[in-house]
Amino acid sequence: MSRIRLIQLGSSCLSKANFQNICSSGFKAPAARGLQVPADPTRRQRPDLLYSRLELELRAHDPAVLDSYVTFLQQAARHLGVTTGKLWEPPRHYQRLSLLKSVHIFAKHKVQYEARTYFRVLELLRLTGSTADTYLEYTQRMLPEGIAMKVSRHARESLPEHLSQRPDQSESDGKSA
Amino acid sequence: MLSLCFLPARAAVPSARLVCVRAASGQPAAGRTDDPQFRPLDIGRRREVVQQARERRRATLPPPRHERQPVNQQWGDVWPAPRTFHPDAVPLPLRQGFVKRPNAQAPPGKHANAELMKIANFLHLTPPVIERQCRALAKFCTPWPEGLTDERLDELRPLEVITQDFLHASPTLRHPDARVVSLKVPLSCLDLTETDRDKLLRLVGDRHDPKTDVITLTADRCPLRRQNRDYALYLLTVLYFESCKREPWEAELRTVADAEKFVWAGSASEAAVAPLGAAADVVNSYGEAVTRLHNEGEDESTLAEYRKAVVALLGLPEHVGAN
Repeated sequence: MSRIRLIQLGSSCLSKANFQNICSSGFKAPAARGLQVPADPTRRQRPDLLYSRLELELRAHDPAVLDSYVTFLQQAARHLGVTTGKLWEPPRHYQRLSLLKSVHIFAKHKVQYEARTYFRVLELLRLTGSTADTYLEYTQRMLPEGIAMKVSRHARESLPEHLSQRPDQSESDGKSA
Repeated sequence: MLSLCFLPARAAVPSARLVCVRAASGQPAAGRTDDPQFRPLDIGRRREVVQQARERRRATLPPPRHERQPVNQQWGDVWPAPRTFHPDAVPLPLRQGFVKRPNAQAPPGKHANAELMKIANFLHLTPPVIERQCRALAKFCTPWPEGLTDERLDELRPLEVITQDFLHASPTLRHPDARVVSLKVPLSCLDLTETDRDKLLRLVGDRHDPKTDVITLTADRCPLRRQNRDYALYLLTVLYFESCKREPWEAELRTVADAEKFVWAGSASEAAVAPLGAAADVVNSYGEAVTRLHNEGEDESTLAEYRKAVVALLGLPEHVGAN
C-alpha cells in the first residue's frame, strides 16, 4: 500500500513542468552538448543567444600548467573562429598558515603550510550561444587537474515590450483601443 | 678413535683452505670444473652473478615502445586522451627535477620520475590534434551575424544580462555565486523626461554609473538563477513605472531653494531684468551668463562673460569695469 503511494507521489512530483525546469537550469539537450542527434522538426528550437563577451577566469596551483592550458584555449578559439579580446594576469595569491605541530602544548614548535594560487583571465568577444556552448564544452572537458574555471557570460537581450514606451502612453493606447 | 676411520685420505682431497682461497679470487668456473664433487660454497650475492642474472632478464624483455615506434606515426593515435606520463611511450629525452648542483649534475631522467608523473601533461593536446578536433566541432558553431556591429547591437539589444558558471574540483557541485544575475540597462534606451530621470536616479542611488549612464541591478535573493533574473526584470519595471508617476505631494517638495541647479526661466533674476526693456537676445545672453555663473561657479571665463552681458544689458561703455 505504502509502495504504491510512493510511486504515485513520485510521478506527481516529477511532472513535465518540473522536469523541464530541472532540465533547463543545468542539463543541456544532447544536440547542444555536441552529440549527433537526428534533427526533429517538430521539436521547438530555442533561438540562439548573443553574447557580447565571455570572460574565462582561471585559477591554478601551477603556473606552467596554466600557461599550457591558456595556449590551448587560444588555439581552440582560433580554430573555431572565436575572437579573443584581452588576456591578463591578476596578481597571484599565496595563502600561508602557521599551525601548532602538536595537539597539546609545545607552542614553540609550529608547522607551516602554503597554498599558491595563480590567475589568468581571457576575454572572448561576440559569440553566439551555439558557438559559446561548443567552445566551452570542448575546453572544459580538457581542463587539467589543478585548474578551476569561472565563466562570466554577458548576454545581450532586447528591452521587454512593456518598457519600450511610457506607462501612461500605453494606458491611453489601451483605453483608446 | 672412531672418527679417524671416517676421515678421508688427505692426499685425495685438496685442503678446504685451498678451496676457499680459490673461490675468493673470483674463478668460479675454474673452481667448478676443477672439482665436480665439491663446488665452492657461495653464500653472498656476488655483484657479477647478480648483474649477469639481471642482464639475462632484461634481454628476454622487448625493447621499450619508443624505440619501436615509427617516425611517421600519428601522435594523436598514440596518446588520444589525458593520461599519466609513461616514459616508454613518449619518445622524448625529458628531464625533470631538482638537483643541488645544477652545474655538475643533470636533472633526473624520465624513468621512475615521480615529479614528471604527478604534473598534468598536455601530450593529448598537440596542435594537429587540436586542429582536427576543432574541425570536427566547427559544424556545431554558428557565425556572428554579419553587419551586427557594436553600435547596432546597442540599439537592438541594449539589455545586458550577466551570469556566472563555475567548474572546479570540490566535494560539492554547487557554487553560491552561480545563482546571481546582474542586469545592465543604459538609461538612453528608456523613454524618460527630466523629472523622470531625476526621480529614477534618486531611487537607484549608486547603482547608476554617471560615466557610462548605465544602471546595474544585481539580484541574488532567490535560490535559483531563473528566479533572480525574473526578479531583476521586475525591479527594472517597478523603477521605470515609479519614476514616470507623479504623486500629489511631489509638487510641494521642489522649491527654488531645493534646486540643485539654477534655472533662468521663472527666476527672480529674470523678473528683475524684465522692466529694463532690453532686446530679447541681450536678455537671453544675460540669462545664460547668470546661469553659468550660478551652476559652474566663479571663474575667469564666467565672470568675463557676465561682465560682457551686463555691459550690453545696461548699455554702458565698453571700458567700464574692464581690467
